Amino acid sequence: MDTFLPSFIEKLVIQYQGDKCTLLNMLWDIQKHFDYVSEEAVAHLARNLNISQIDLQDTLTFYHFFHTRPAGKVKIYLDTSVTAVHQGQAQVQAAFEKELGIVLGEVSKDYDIGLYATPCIGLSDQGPACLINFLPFTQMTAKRAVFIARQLKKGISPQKLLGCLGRKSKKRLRQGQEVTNLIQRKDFLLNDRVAGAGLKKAMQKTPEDIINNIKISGLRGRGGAGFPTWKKWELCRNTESDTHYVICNADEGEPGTFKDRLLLTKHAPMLFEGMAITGRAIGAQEGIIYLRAEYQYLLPRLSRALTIFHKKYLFRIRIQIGAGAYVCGEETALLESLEGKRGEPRIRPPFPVESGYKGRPTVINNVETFCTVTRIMEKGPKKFCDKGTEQSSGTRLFSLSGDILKPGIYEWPFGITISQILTEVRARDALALQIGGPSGTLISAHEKERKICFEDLATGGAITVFSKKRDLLQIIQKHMEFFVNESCGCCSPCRAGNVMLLEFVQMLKDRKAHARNLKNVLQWCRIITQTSRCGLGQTSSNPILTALKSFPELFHNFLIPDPKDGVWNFDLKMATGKYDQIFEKNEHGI
Amino acid sequence: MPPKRVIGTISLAGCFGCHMSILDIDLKFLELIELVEFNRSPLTDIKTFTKHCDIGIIEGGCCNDENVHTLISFRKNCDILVSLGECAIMGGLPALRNKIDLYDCLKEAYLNVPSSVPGNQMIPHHPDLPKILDRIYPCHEIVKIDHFIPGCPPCDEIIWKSLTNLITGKSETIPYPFLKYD
Ligand SMILES: Cc1cc2nc3c(=O)[nH]c(=O)nc-3n(C[C@H](O)[C@H](O)[C@H](O)COP(=O)(O)O)c2cc1C
Ligand code: SF4
Ligand code: FES
Repeated sequence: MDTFLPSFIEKLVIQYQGDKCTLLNMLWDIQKHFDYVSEEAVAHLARNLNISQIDLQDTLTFYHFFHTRPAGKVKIYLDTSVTAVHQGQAQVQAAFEKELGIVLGEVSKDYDIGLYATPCIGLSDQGPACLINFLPFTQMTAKRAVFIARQLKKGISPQKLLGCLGRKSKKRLRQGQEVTNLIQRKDFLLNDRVAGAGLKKAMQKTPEDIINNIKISGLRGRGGAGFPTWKKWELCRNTESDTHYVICNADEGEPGTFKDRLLLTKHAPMLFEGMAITGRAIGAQEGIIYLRAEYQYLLPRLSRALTIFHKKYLFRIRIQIGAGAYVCGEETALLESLEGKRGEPRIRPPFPVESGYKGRPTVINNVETFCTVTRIMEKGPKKFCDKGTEQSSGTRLFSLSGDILKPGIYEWPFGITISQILTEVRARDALALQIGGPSGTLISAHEKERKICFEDLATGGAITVFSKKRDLLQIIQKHMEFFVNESCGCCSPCRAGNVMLLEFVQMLKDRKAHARNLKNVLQWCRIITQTSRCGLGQTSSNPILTALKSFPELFHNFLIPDPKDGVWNFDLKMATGKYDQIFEKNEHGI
Repeated sequence: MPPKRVIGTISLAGCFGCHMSILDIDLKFLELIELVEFNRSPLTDIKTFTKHCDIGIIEGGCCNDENVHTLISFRKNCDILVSLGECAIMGGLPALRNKIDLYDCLKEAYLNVPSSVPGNQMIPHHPDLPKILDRIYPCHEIVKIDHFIPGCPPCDEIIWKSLTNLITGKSETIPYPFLKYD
């Protein structure tokens, strides 16, 4: 193998024409062949690309899915997000650990199988789930984990295990149908569609007309921030350049969100059409889909659909796979990643519409935004803005999971109330709802009249319901852990501040937090929110801040009051213990 | 004329840089001395409080048990406590040792140094010497601190502005350039 590596890398670099922008692909290829990216591989690749090893490592070590040490021929990634925990992830993990004789984060040397934790993989409605060599396994139980582990140990490929529930189980998921796409409610976007109609109508319109149609529709971005789509397009169109780009954000990283998964699985042509329509509007001939690594099992399907699309239309689209980093969903981090670098957000301005991919004006939109564009072109903007509220027109997709009887995907008009939602999803004993994932808002189930729309509760589409048997502090803790792990680290307040927030939540859980700690944490929240470069740091305090609003008692009941004289209970004995210990044996401390 | 406010100051685990920066207010000291009197402070060499103070100014964090006792006595004898400078606020330079095991740190400083005399090596240890803490603690982890003045050291301007604000009860804002250190 060692003699093979240098020639493998040489060929690889020739295959990718030495283009550093394709670094992620090269690293994936190396990892797929050698199970991890060794120091030797880094050295060879750096030499062949004529970059320094440290620059290469800079990118390599940024992404969660790239391994720099032997990581196992088979890699199991367990979803450890809070919803999975509620669904019984701990038992699944324990079963895998016992059967493989390792703990999470380790590799079984005997069987060459690695077991790792990963945040939400977009299957919260059918968890606990895991990825095995990036194939999805859903509705895991301890029994099934034991079954799968034993088969893997025998050398059976994960591909063959898809759909198998266990030896004794008669029930078997339909072959290759691990992932179900439960659609609970359809509307404007998901209702029957005439393929090609949206793009055809757009081709008959001038770019200005297309933009104007989207303006009339009032469509706002579905990725979370809700920026008016037409405005983004117009700004991009007005920036002069030899090339413009259309980029689809299919990173879907916000825990609890899985609606893009449905669109990518079932409605890829609708997405491609939307990107081509955008291309016509802004004057771009080329589009890129940035697909999160967790969804790479969709790649064969998407590629087939793309081949069909390319036969009919001139607009060119390619798909780039990420490598595991929530922050790469942030549009400028996504651009960096597309250029083969660490996914660190850029300083704005300039905005991507002025200087985006490779410095060219670029429109980045969410998967659902593009799909909605296709439908608006097909049916006309009026039909769209009939629904929704004043500032949030139309319908949108919601990913519903948690303690409900009817999880899955719902298309609802904006303005739907919490009370309507709780009834429709058949919530059981609801205590709280997480609207828009960890970076969104935690509200009480009593806030029944609140509305989902940009005027009140904004969301990237995720709604997770928690019942009364859930521990809210644990939820907040898991969400803060998520931000600590996902901060790219370039802003100190986000890198270090989130650690302090997490420590506070842990102290609160252990009933060790004092009133002063909360005061201090609130000051840090302000600093982190106001001085962080990107949306991650700007919203990472939300688990604490929004919980404090909706569930103040959660904090105030458990805080220890501060001593009145301002002398904190400092444990001097503990602090001098180490020093005393040094002189226990002899007074010279030698 | 209103009675003079009483100020105490102390340097704990600091380098005296912050006290030097107080002296940097130069001629304004003449104005200051009209408004305040100094009690316990290296400036007066008064070693224990002889009066209750309005304001206590702390330089440096806590690296030994004596620092902790001194800080607590400042808390008890002053109405308002101010952490002056990076060391008091965050531990500062001394906190570089926080990641190093205490024994390793002392070994490096006293046993393995080239200047140590072979056969006569020891880590200083005596009932009269303060005990070294396991790490440096910023002041607000030990007592309540009312105000923080950032800088390493804070410049004379910000010290002057903050002090006059505290003494007169006004709240003049401190211009951003004085607070920006990079
Ligand atoms: C930390 C972070 C993660 C994000 N993740 C995603 C994502 O996974 N998918 C997405 O479409 N937008 C995501 N966004 C929002 C994008 O930056 C961008 O606003 C969006 O893709 C624009 O598309 P839209 O206008 O169609 O919503 C994220 C933003 C931040 C700050
Ligand atoms: S806010 Fe956090 S994630 Fe965003 S750029 Fe700064 S350090 Fe990176
Ligand atoms: S002694 Fe003042 S900041 Fe260190």
